[in-house]
Amino acid sequence: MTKTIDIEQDRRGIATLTINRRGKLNSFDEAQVNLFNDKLATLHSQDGLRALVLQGAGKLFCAGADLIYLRDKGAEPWEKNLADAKKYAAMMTQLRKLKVPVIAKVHGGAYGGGVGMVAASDIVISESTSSFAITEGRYGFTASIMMPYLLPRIGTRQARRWCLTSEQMSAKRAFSIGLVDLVVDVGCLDVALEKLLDGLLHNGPTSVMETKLAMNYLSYSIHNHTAVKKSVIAFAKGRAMKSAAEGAASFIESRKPRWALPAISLKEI
Amino acid sequence: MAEQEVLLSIDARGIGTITINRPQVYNAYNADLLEALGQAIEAFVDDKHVRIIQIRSNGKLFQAGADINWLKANSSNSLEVNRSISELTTNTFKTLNECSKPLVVLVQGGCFGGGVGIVAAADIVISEEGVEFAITEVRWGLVAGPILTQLVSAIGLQNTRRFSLTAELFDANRALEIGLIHHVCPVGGLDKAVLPVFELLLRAGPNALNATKQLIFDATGTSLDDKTAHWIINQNASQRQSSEASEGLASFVERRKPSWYPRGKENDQNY
Amino acid sequence: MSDQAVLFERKTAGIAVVTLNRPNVHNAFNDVMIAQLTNCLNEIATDEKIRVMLLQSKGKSFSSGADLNWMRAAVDNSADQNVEDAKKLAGLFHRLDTMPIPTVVRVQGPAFAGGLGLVACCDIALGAKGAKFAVAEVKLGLIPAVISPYLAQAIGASAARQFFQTAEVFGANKAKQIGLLHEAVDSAHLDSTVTKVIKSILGNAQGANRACKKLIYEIGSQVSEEFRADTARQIASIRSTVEAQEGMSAFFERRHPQWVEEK
Repeated sequence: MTKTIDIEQDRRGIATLTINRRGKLNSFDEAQVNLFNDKLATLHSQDGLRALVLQGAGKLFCAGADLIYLRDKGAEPWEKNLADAKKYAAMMTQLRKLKVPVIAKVHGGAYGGGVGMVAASDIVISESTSSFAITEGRYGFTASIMMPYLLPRIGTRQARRWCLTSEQMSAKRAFSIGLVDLVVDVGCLDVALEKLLDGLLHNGPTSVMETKLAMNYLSYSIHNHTAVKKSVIAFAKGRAMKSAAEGAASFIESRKPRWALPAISLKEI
Repeated sequence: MAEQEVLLSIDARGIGTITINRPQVYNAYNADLLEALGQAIEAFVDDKHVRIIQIRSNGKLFQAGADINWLKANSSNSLEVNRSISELTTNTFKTLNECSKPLVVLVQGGCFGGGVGIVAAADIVISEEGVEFAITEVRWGLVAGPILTQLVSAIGLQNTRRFSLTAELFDANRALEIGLIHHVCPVGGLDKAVLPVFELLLRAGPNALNATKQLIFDATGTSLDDKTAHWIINQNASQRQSSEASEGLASFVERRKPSWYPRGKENDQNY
Repeated sequence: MSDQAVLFERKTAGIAVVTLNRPNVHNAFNDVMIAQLTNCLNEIATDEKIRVMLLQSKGKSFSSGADLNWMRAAVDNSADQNVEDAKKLAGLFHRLDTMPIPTVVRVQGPAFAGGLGLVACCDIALGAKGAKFAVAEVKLGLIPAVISPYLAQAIGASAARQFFQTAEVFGANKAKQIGLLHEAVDSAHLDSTVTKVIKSILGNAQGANRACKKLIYEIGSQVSEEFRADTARQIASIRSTVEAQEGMSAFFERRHPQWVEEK
């Protein structure tokens, strides 16, 4: 059986974590969440680590949470639902608090919680053809766990639009609103990444870690535990809503959810 | 007679000009320059004839950040001395950032390290095209703590995160996009480009302008609180004393790779 | 009907459309419009059937902000009355900012001062390329007090420092770059852009959007209640000052205020 998360580390101290659940668009279910958390905890305690590269195997970076997993957890008793939500949130917190810079390398696309992974990374490189969408609302869930990372990154102004509409955005747009830091032509991701890593390796390892610490200290929502707590509760509540079950069903059955209305014409507005 | 670190003048319109004047070291700052800069701001704020403050510099390059010889000399000093230097640096940037009168900064040539902090502390920044910027501290084994608060405010957490972790160069156009600067002008065009800005600021009701600047601080939470300042100063001081900082500064001066840069990279099969 | 300062219609599919209707005075708001708009927003906020709100305005201008005649007259009121009036204005922006449903604003023309505040309080701002913007207050000796919490958060500190203090006019592309507008499109495409965004909103589950908007507000809002309340006191006090009265008089008399040196 192939591993659903791969980690390699080179002699310079650059670790690469590959999310590898290809048949499932690299989405996260319970087992994958646990595995991811374990892997990050191991990395954090490793000596000589200088940076982590986060990437997806196959066609895209990551499509977020597995909708079946979300729905099933939402149907469980509140305490169980909440306990699991905390584990999901821990993935983002661990990325953000990993002692070294995390670089997300995005190809294909990042959706839902995949955008959360991107937002929680320190630096994001994307191929020009990637697309991004905060799709939770489309499936009846609430975009939530990503908020403590998304809001400082793109601001409430952009978050209000992209969360409330679930619209898809291009890499270029993602760059202009600050979700992505670098956009490169197709096929140029590795070259751009190598250039970035080489720059990072010139910098003092401790001063880089201390700078990351300082950035986290200054972020208005990361060290504000109530922000993370609120996002966890909203996540757990959101997946327990009736709309979440309907959204997941519509996804499985490849149909529009109930609330999606027939096309509205200009005149009607 | 020693050269003055900053030159001051006030014109008839009420524009107070601070000219940073250490062109021989690319206007890099030491303790004397920081103190002079802070005092100049305070004096102009207190002077009722001054309505607008501008900072510019002499020479080819706007500001190269901290004077590397000053940093090197202090890295072997006691924690107490380093703490006082970190405190002076943090407080000076706070004074600039929280100056109650409109602050305009004109940038030529290049702007690095703490120089980016001066720019981020301003209300309106005009830069010549082609100017390069970089938050260089980590390259020297240091932390850019004293300027981070105003950088986060000016260019957002995300851009600060990226540019302070990588120390990479970015040009005036990118600086404009991320909000670090507000106008780009042709090389040699700073004096011309600043005129309409002065014109606009002089048109505003003087009391209204004061109240508005305070309003911006209140609305954006730009001010640096004591607890954060304390944290930054401690972190900054201990990193100044580290062996990493000594090596970073030495390698920079000696124009060689620092010891932490991996050796034999070309033999690495993984990359 | 057309005498009303604010029009309100319930359209199909839970869409509420609110229209500012004082085109002859560039949709400037006075006490009547403030009251009507606030009532209308309250009604929408408590209607569970409404899923999205569109704010738009009649005529060429989106809104020129507070009516200067009304602002200038505040000096004739008692100090208490002046503050009460300012609180109502502040309350309007807070009401709009905290609507429980997604709000879309269609900016077809110029938005100045308080008009900009309305734009900043909506979730999604779609504008015509020809629209112009200015935080014009300081030119009149006034301050952008009650709109500052929303506008500063929408455009960020760097742009706020520039535009609050210079009061300069800027275009739709700049407005998009600094985050005030989400889209700047040709006038001919403004309606189709609005429709597209509203359709996207209606594609999301209603409860999900309400919960999401609430969470963004709770985690992301950087402005304290205390400061927001204080902005009303600030505008009430500044508009009674000699400087502001001179600034507004100069505006009506089409001359420079005294603090500007003649060339």
